[in-house]
Amino acid sequence: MTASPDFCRQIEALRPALLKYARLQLRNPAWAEDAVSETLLAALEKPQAFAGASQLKTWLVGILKHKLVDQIRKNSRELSTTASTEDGEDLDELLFASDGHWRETQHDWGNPEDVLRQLDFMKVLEACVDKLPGQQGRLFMMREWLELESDEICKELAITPTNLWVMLHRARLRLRDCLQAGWFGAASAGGAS
Amino acid sequence: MIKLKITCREATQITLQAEDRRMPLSERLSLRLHHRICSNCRRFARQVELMRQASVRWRHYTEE
Repeated sequence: MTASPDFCRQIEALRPALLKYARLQLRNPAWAEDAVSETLLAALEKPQAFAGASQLKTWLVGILKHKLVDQIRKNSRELSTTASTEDGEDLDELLFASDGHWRETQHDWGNPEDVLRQLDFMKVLEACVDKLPGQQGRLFMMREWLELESDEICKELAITPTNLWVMLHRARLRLRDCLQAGWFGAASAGGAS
Repeated sequence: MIKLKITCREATQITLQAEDRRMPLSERLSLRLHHRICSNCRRFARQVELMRQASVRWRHYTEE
């Protein structure tokens, strides 16, 4: 069965969205292009696999996630050699005094339900994930977006659990900082309710 | 052994690591004790909880 022109158009229209997430995950434009091309190709070769029961985008993102894991596997050696050079500054040192206390008062972010139903928050979150340094962003995405278990990530990238936890710790602290600055800080100044 | 007094920095580390692995009971108890006396770390833990829920919501959002 060959894909209809209409099906091709619909799939092609989703390329930019897929590319955005492929880049967020891989942090490498060339690998991201490859993963997306493979995804679209797989979809066009098997249009009958799309039953139409779910949304087209849901189906494609599902394929993309597998292709992204393939890319990570394929490039794991290069990933492990570039990783340590793109770490960013140590936030712990900025957040805590030498006695281990917070330097500043922490803010109440309010009710998660109220925050999370706002579409704009999702955009700020995406921008903050995008700002994470390379390897931290990659690991955060593997954990939270690809939903891989810690031991799977360690195996794919040949890193130790301790190394993974340190990197995720930094990623989450950085993300929190960015959300505070980009959403909660900005919102409280504007009187968010 | 349960450490009765941990610093905010240590509490933060336990809170964040709990996102990615099951923490030993002793550390969870230390954290709970710390939260009784530290509003900053309680707020931080709620922020991390919100971020966890945000990830779930975001996954759905990326597929819609």
